[in-house]
Amino acid sequence: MKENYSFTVNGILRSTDQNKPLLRYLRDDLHLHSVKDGCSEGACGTCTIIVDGKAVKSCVLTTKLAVGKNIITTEGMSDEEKEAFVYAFGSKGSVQCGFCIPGMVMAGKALIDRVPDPTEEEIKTALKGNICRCTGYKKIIEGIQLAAAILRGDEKIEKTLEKGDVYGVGKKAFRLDVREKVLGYGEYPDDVEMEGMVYASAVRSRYPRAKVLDIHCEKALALPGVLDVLTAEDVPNNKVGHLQQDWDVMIARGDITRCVGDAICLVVAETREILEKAKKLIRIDYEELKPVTSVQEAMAEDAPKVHSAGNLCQSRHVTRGDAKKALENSKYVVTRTYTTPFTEHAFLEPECAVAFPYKDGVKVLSTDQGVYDTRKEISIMFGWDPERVVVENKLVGGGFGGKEDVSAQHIAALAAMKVNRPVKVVFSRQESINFHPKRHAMEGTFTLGCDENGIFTGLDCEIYFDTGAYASLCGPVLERACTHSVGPYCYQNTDIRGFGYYTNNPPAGAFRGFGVCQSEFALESNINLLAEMVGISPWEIRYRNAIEPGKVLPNGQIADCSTALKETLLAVKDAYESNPGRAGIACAMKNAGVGVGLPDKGRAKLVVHGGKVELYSAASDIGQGCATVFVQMVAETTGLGREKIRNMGANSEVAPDSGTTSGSRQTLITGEAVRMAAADLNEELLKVGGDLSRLEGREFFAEFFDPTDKLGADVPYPKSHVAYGFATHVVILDDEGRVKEVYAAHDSGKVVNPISIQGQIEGGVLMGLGYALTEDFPLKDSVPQARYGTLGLLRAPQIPDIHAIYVEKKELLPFAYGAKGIGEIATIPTAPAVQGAYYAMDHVLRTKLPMENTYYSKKQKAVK
Amino acid sequence: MGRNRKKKVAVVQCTGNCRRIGNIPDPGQYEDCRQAVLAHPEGLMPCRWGCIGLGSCVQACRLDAIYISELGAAETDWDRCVGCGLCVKACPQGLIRITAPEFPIYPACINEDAGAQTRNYCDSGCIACGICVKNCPVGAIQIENGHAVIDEEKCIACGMCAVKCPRGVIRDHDGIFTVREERVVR
Repeated sequence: MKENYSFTVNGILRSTDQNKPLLRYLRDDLHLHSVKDGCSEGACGTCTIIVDGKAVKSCVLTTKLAVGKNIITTEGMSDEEKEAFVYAFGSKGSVQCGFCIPGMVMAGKALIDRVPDPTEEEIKTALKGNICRCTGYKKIIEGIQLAAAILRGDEKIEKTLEKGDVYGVGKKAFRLDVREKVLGYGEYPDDVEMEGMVYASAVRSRYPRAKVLDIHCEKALALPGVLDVLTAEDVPNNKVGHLQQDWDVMIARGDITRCVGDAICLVVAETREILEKAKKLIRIDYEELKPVTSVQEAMAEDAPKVHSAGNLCQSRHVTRGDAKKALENSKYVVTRTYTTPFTEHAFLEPECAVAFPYKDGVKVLSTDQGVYDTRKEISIMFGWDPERVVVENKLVGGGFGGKEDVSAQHIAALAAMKVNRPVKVVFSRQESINFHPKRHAMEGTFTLGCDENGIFTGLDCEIYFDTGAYASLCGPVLERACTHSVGPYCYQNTDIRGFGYYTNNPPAGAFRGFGVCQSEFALESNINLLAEMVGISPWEIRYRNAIEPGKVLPNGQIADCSTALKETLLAVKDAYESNPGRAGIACAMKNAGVGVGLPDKGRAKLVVHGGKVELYSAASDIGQGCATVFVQMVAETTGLGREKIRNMGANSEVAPDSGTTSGSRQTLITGEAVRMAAADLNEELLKVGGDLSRLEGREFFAEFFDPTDKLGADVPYPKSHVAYGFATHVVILDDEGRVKEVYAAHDSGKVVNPISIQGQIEGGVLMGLGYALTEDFPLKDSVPQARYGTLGLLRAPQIPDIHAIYVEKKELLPFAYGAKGIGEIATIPTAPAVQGAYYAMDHVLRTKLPMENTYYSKKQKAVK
Repeated sequence: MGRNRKKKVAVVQCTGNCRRIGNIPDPGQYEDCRQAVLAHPEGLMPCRWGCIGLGSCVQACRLDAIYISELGAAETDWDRCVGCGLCVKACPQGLIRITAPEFPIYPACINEDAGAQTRNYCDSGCIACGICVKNCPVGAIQIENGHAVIDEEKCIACGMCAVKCPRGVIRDHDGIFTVREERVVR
């Protein structure tokens, strides 16, 4: 006789005869989808629930161990608690991608139930087991404090804030997605359940480089419940790729694998359990080969070719003036070599897609950074017209650049067409870590010169990127690393050479900062050395060289009227100067918009339907909040309230292509398209006396395109990008060498949503601190050694005090109400500022990330 | 702000499961653990490291926060315990450790014998199999001197080690991932 396990869930007595992780029981049997599956390893905290009053990870607890326990999920909170958390998290800006949020709410509630007035320290301790990759925790801590105050009766809910009658640009806008994300009913692809849905998962290579001799599927196929096992032979066109189609959907018999993330076959089965069993029955015969593990090895003449055309994937040469001569004639010159590691995005939501046959093709419910990009890659795989593929984004649980390439979407589509049923593909956490492109590891030698006054004269540098097994976005990322290696200053002699090499490491591609995190770390560290030689402060040398409106950037572009780098420097001057010997400073610039002569277009369509304005624009909100920004643009232009405007999301069937969520472009590029469409709507609205109902059925479409010049264009002052954001960060250490405070001053033009921008800055800074101090991605013979919990992601008790400062100028760009992007730049200057702070403290130049011999690295060593 | 409510608590790193095989010879003749240890320098039980269960700690505690469980080993009551450390000083076996309530997951064994030997005399002694090390998501566990040790700098108290431990050595003081022994009035 089978045992029976009984326990109470949200007040209802439940029982099951299956012993399995409670997470699986809650999600699959009870359909309580607020309980998120972020890692199933106990590391991330997205599945946190409350068991007998304690916050517990439901992936660790089992149905057997839960016997007799009282279990609460977000769904089981009282109405009073639900309203308190929704309001608190919305008004404090605690919600970005939202995937960690129900777990945070549970951890917060468990604490508040025990301690009604928790201190900041107590909240941080309570959140120790819950990772947030978006917010930097500060806003979540504030949210929990406010929720506690509301539940105590000390604070009140202001209903008007969520209602959003006043929702325009610059207003404290309550994000559109707060309620569904806090209460956990918002759907990410893994929350989708469909009639007849089956599951598919790839069997991936055991070795980074090995010849696939044979694939034995017979045993798996014989298992009841297995629908099919697909191999490369089942793929119409076996190559996909975001820009370069160099990525095999599956490695065919006789071919050689390129990394451990490579799929060899795809198993489709009725249930998750059968799928896991079937995968274990697949046997693959390999001939193991020695992998290419580094750029040096890839460059060697006799190196095995990772791709048939050779190991050099991409190169760039960016030059202006005469760097050689300028450096020869410079009073001071420094040359240093810097190395930075691969970085894992570690978004909380692993890759997932649900695909099903649809009309004359396939529809994919996705979590990605551009539905049209995904559509393109899938249509290339099928050899179809793109229109036959429809891609719709569900909620996206974080991206940071890591969800620009297809991952689960194309194999889900392939399986769905093969078995003619809805198919869900969800990556395990380790599969995600092994598969998706990382931030490029870099080795770069930077030579920067200046005159006796510290005015920069020229820059020479050579950058080597390890792009791993596939190109992904190597070309543009390398290019951005090169073009931005000059920094936000004005000098005219540059010679920058960049090379991206294929290796058998996991692929590298887009990651918040897009190559600039690497090169600005090197440049800004060199600047500190020059300042020392000149005998001026690191602040002073930056101020003397800082770009300002009308001056010419090193790439030849004339800085526009909105440029406010000097303002950001002034905003942190006191903080920097009042902490001598323990403060570091760094500046950065980051383009908003793809630029460099590409047709980077924003598109939006407004439809008046059912008395509301429906906004159609395929621009992925990956948590940064652009969906809310667009509604604010409509509200600002038309004066309508939030309740009259609906953002219909990113769906390639109904919404026009508005480009990838990349290059900090959505707020500006799509934002302007939305504003233009809204202006047309408003004109008509005025004609009918503001009565929206009289415009029922009308459509307003707008396309925004501000042309730029391509790299190396032969024009006097080439315009590389529509806009640049600027920033200065100051990092202050305490006596033990711990980061105590960060001042992050940003010029991102007009601030559209003051709550959201703070969260973007704080989260970006914390990601930058991780990059500087704790995050690493160790490889052993090209095989990733890290698990989610050992990546070095900073946790709530470790956070410093982050002061997000935004400088708003009167002179603004004439687009999107003057807004520029904030998405990436917040991560860029942090690492060099940390480096500067340690240099100020002990005079050791740390040229390698994560930095060695710091408070943080010592802690890691102490436990060996 | 400015409040300091950082509570400390004590844990006993032994569950006392060796009682099924070995027992203390004539326990009535000793007043407490200390006396018993002095009288038997060669060791009292098959396990030289475990709890003797004669209550030196119980006598030392002024808050009635430590007791002898049904298995005959000391257990702490975190509702009462303030982590003062008197029991730590009183224990002749050095079995009691001060920690914080946010670390309810702890290995209840400091045995240094080889695994095969430990297996002979104790059902819940650490045999240094390393399953916890392998399953810890944050790399917080090491085997030191023949038993599992958790680094609280890294530990996030997820309970994975307690669930995976094949011998029930790693325990959850909150009683969610592992069962707590009942209090026994002696």
